[in-house]
Amino acid sequence: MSEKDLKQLIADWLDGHIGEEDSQRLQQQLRDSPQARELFRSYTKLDGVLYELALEATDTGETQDALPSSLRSSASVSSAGWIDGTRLAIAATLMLAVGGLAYQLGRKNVANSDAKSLAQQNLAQPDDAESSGERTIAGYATLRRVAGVRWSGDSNTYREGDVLPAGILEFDDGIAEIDFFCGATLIVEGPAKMELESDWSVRMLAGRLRANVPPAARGFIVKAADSEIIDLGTEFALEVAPENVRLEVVDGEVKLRGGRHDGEHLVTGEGQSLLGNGRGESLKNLSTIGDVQRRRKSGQKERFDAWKAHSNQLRSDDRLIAYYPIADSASDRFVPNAARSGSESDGTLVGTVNRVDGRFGPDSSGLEFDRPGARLRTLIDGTFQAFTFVCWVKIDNLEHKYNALFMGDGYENGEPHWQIRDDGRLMFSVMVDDTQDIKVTSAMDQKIVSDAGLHRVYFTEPFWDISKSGQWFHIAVTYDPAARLVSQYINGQTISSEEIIDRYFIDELRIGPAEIGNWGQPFRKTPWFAVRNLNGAIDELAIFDAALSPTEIETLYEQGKPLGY
Amino acid sequence: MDDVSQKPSTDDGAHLTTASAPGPSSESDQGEAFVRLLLEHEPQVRIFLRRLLPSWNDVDEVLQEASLVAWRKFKDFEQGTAFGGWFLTIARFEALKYRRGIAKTPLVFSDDVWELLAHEDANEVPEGTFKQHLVTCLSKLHPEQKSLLLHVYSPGVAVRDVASQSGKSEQALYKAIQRLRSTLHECVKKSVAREGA
Repeated sequence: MSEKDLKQLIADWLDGHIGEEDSQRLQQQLRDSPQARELFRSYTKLDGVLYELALEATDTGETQDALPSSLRSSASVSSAGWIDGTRLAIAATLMLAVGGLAYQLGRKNVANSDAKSLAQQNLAQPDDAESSGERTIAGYATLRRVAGVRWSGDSNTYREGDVLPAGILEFDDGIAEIDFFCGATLIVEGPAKMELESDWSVRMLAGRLRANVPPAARGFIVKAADSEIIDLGTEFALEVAPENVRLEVVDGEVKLRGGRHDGEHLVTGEGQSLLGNGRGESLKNLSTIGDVQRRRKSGQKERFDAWKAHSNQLRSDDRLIAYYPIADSASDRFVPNAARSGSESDGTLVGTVNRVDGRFGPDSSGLEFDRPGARLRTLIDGTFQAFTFVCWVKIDNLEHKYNALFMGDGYENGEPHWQIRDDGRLMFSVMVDDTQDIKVTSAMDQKIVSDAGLHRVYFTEPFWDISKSGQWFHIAVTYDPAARLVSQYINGQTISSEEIIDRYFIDELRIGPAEIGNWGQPFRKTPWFAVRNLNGAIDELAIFDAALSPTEIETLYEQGKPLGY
Repeated sequence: MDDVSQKPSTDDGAHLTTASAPGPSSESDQGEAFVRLLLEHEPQVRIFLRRLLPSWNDVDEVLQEASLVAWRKFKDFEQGTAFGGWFLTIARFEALKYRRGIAKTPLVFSDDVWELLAHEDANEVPEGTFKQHLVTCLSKLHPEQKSLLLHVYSPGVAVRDVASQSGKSEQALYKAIQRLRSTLHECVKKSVAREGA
């Protein structure tokens, strides 16, 4: 292909009107030729800088004048000293996302909202947001599906959908399906131990696996004993035992590098022993993706049935204020209250609440609140001595500053607010005195600011980040005036426990009209933060007039957890 | 990095009324440091994303998401290491995720090509230098040509509309743009070769 032709293809791609055939030609060039890639890179760079210059030309001086001075000065750091509109748009988005930052940069509209005092309150607390054991998003593979996996004693444990980082993966039993980002899939049978080296390479230390390598992942390397198995496409099986390492090509071709068979190519049906005498049972009976799915499905059904039995028992618990076992209900208009308190507290679905798969897969269901108007409304009368809130929730994204779980409408005295902040912290609060206009010392600028109503927000450390998008979590909070304690839980484990001090003490608790998954009537009319719908799904929620013990919370988690937890 | 909890303090910092002012490395300072680093490195990452995604809309979407993720992760960022590389890694991952969710048109490259473009290191002209050369080259164009080019690159401008306004066919306009781009490409290449990157 001439350079002129190549440039034409690149230009067509840049302009967004390349045909399928031309796209294939372009990609073949990019695949084969480093020079073609260099030309492509250089044209995309030209395109990028032109885009940037056009943005700068569109930006008038007004944009700059409207900026807080702190940002203006930092904007000048950019290479040519110019301001770029889109960059500022993104900076502005960040300011919305980061209450404290927004405040610091002097955005008045943000500073007016009730959120400010909350943000400040948190800033005033020890700032150790760094959560231990938090996984980085820069992993190499995704744990796609698991069936019956039992993680080894002190090794890391993972759940379906987790991003797998570099390092050792070890389990004693079960089957795991692992998708490397390059496109290769491994079906690994326990007991197994492996080390993820990159998204193109893994060292198998023990166990049996089936590797499926599509064309895009050609060159994927599995290391075993002193050999490297380079997959040139499709499928092979491998068994790694202490004295015995065997390889069989199911379909396609692999190449060996290093070890005693260095340089050999093996094709469909051929096998090779990389260590030991090579005898052993055939690798043909290794699990397939279908096996993982079947085992998983039956395992999931067992979990679902077990939960149903426990859920039926739970319904007769006298301490329940309301109980919405959404996972096994089907109506699209209301959600029955299964507690003895009865139909008065049934939930009504408002707005576009979608039914989605629940935590037990397609057989169960959850309610998704990803539209701003979506909500589940309920009315719960009475006064209570304590609260326990428990629910199963799947979070797709924490796109609002505050994301609602369960919210008392008016946030009047004794009413609860249970939500998740955009940095992944759980928040629970009860209004103590809504008549007080509280003057508080802002830690940010050491000024006195006012806040509506006396209340205290109990935060946890962050438990969620974007890498956990789509996973189900069991979360719980107990509010115990008698013991003067607020405790919060994730997946049955306590993650925070805080004393209720005198100033924030209240022992007459109420709920009244309330919402799950959203908040209807914010007490400040700042539209900015009024949208608090949960971008995610809930498939079970229970409220007790008691503070459940940590053991009880853990039992609820154990009885209700889906497969793979 | 220091945090507030390590500062000796006369109170427990636990509630509003007795809270002390944050130390020099407070969240707000972090915020400023972050915005500064972000603004500095964003153009380079945007250009990187352009070769991985089919349109500017997609690029801006991913860039925004990556910025938010980077902010959330900023506490994990090791001060003194290269922010650009760290941010780029996040952006690449976000692009990878985003890519899975979009329709497979001819504009979307296959996985292997994508990987090549996403991971290959190259000795590239730094974005700032490239931009300076490009500005010089743009000034050598006829003013009308220059404003036409910048106009079609402006947000919200469709080539089709520009074509109908100017009485040209869409195809002719695309040709004109491609020629101008090609001219600029040559000019920048020569200018870099002459004056160095």
